[in-house]
Amino acid sequence: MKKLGLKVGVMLMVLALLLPSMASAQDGDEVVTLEFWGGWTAADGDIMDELVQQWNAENPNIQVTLTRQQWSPLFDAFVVASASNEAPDILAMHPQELAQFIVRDLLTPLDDLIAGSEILTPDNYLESAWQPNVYDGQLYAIPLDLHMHGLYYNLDLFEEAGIEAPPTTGEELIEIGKQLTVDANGNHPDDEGFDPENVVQYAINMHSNHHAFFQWWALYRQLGGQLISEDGTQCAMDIDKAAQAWQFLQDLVYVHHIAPQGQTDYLRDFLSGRTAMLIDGPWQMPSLEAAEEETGFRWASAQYPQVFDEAYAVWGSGHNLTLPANVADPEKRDEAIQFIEWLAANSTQWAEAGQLPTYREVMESDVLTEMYGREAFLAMMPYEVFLPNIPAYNEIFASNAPTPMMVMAQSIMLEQADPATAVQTACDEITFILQMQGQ
Amino acid sequence: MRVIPRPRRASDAGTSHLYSRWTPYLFLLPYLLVFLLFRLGPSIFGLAMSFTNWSIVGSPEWVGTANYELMQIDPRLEAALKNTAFFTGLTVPLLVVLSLALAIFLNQPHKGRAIGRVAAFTPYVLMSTVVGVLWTWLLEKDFGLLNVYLEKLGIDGLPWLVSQDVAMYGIILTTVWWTIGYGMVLFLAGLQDIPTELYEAARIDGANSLRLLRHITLPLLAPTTFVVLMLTIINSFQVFDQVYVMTSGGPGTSTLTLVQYIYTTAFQNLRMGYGAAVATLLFAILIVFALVQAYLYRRGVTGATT
Amino acid sequence: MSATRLLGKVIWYVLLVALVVVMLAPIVWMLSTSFKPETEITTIDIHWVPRTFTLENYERVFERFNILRWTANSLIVSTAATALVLLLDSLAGYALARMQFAGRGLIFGIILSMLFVPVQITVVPLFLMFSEVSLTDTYLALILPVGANVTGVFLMRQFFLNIPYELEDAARVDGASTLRIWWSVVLPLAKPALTAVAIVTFLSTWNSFFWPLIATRTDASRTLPVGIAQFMSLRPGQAQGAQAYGQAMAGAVIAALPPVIVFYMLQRYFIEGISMTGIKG
Repeated sequence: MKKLGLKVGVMLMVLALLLPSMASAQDGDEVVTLEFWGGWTAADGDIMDELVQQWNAENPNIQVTLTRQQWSPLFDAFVVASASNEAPDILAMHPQELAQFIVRDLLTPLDDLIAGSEILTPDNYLESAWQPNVYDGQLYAIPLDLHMHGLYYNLDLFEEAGIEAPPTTGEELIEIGKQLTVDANGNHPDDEGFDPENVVQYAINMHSNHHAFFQWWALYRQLGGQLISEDGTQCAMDIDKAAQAWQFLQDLVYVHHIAPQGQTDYLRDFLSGRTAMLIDGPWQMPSLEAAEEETGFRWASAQYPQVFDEAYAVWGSGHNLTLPANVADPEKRDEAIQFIEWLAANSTQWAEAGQLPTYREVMESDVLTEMYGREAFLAMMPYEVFLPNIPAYNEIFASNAPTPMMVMAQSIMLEQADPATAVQTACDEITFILQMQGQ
Repeated sequence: MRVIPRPRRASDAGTSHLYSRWTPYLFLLPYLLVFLLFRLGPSIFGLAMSFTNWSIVGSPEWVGTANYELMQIDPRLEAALKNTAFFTGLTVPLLVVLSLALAIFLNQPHKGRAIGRVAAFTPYVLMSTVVGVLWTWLLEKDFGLLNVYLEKLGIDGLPWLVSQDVAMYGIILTTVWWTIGYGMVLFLAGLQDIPTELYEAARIDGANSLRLLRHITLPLLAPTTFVVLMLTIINSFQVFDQVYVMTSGGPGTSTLTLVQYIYTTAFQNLRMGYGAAVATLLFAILIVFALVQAYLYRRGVTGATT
Repeated sequence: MSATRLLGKVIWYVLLVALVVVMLAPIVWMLSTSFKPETEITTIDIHWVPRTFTLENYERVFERFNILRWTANSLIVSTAATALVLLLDSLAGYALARMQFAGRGLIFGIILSMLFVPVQITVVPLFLMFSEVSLTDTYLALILPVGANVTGVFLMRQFFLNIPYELEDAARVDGASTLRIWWSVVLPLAKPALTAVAIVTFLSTWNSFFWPLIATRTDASRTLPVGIAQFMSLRPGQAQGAQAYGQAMAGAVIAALPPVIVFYMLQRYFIEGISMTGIKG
């Protein structure tokens, strides 16, 4: 048995030595292969897969391979690959992530490359989608789609409670919220004997993760607040306004009791009726549609409420497409642009995943505007506020590490910390980080 | 065939004339080549980056001890050290004691012990991301399996992963479930080596199970315990995967660990130099641990034989 | 059988059942979820047995992803890496255990100390090295670094420290060279230890994620953990995208099967193996 095992082992080792030369197919002179990396790991990734396959069928001379991976490991691999000119030809990301790569010369400026394009021009895109991809006067990415927070609501629960329309202001949210929040004895929050420990139905969800600070960001901008100073060297937060924005969110949980504390599974709670409303992005629509089909779950979407009056703002981000700089073969850039043009023009299918394409022709098409639930999101597109696109983005805003934003959000929403103190701490940490970046 | 190894004799020291002086090095060469190229070399390079401000791309610039000076005022590093120490301090005794207890329990001559052994080891086979996702569900505050069943038993559930005070316990619980099988197997092996004659003789003398445990089993398991202890400490100090998937260091900074901090700093914040400095600190801490353990072990062994 | 012994036996069996339940419950949950449709997964009620039993998650996984290729890659890489480790480590372990030479202690100390350096530190230099010789995205890149692992050397050395000298002495008297002794006398005795190292190495190579993530870029050499991460869901609410848990759990089950099978096939050797390494010495 040992002898056999050894033989097998030696055979495998020889195989392993030979296979590298067998496994990597040599490209003929005719076919250009493009590597396209994107972080879509859910149903939207499947749709991007289909789109890529469609392109490959129509364009035998330019073959695209899509690599999907979760965003964070994807960027790890991207950076390491860039260190030795093995970066992918096309890399998807979000606008606020551009700066960190731009300052390290990892992305290619696109202005010259798209100079002759008829599809990839600023006029063909919403300004709020195009502008965030410009850094230091140069364009570094083409927008693919936008997404932002919207308000989903359960039509059955609304009808039961006799509520005609979803809330559009902060006061309405609280008022309607109280009507929709019921404890085990049927009491509402303002009723006598209301038991906050035994609520069976909440009005709305409340995030305990980075989406909490996304919501805060929207409210803070609704108050007209600023985050980073003009020169980018320190935190320029208006502590009072920041605290005020946080207080509104915190009160929904701890004062008005219309949102649960420590909630983590927002979609599940919405689908099961535990919350009557759900603040989430357009990506959730396929799941809601599926639930509607399977169990008759009735839902609708509305705009994120305007709680404060300075301006209307809603947190948002989007996907964009970049051309990494440290690629093995820079000659393929024109083909890459061709693919991106095609993707822009054919992005109607992308909308099925709940994404909102920003190429005007698609964005304004009937197909998109007539998809159920999309209207509210499309209307919010011009009012999206992105988090700042700065080199220190990850250090301040990353959601998978204890960044100043995460610590601030979680201490306020989970530990009921005093907003003003938490905001001040976060602001000091942000200033520290920004000044370290400068060195 | 069970052969009891004979003790080393003084004449063994002179056996080196039986092979050429190059033989040892030839035997070592294949491994050392691979080791040098793919482990030692990269490790030295990586740790040496702590004296630079490298960001993975571009060329590293020498900054001397700047990173080490920064470490001294870094509040996140302090949190990471505390959390890692806390995690290790709690997990290691739990793992060592529980896996030892499991091994003894599953060494009893009852039918069905194989099922128990297999059940205890299976979690160890799962990928960390799978374990993380599973236990995030189990530990969910409102409807997670654990709290639901605790409530059925009349015990209040805990806000496992959504409270600064409790989150680390959730991680520890997950870790113990996931990795207890490994220590158990090592202890089971150690138990096989204790001659049954010793137990029989002691029983004839009238010893009960507890005395057997105290005077035969545990002392003879000391070397195994040493190995399990050392490996568990090394692994616990480097905990990362399950924490990253389940809480990413939160809520707040309550579950931030050293290796997660190294990963975040090096790969997300693109400050590989600083990450390497923290890794060097981790390296130094573990070296100290290893030396202390080896010293204590040697003293313990010589003490036991006198 | 006396009453106390009977009671002891009953208690033992009760504890056994409790143990099996606690250890396997989450895994049963994982299995159960993989056979549920997505709408049944996102519910508050707890159902251990799927109300609607479905194979659609597995179908989707096999249809949409190159899972067979990933599995094949993982099998090849893990097996070849294990064979490499067995060869290298049994040679090195023998030298470190049995031979006197200058620097023996220091060399072993340095080898052991590499356990203290996390993979995040070595990944980039390793990648740069392989990229330099255009060997990224190959099996070699995944196999060779495993050959440098430390636990195998540690365990083999432990084993060799404890085998009886008599057999080697006898072979020397017959005039055998050291290599011959190693091959024909010592290694056969080492079967259990080798199996132990084999299991440990196979398992850790199989589940390895970070280095394969960095080192591979196409399905030609992509391994299973990196592959299924393409659709492995993050915890609820984490991603800006709807997660498909059923699919993720199906992938998890598929990825868990081969190592479970390998372990179960070899587990009796495993225990014998570790014991012969004389961990007590």
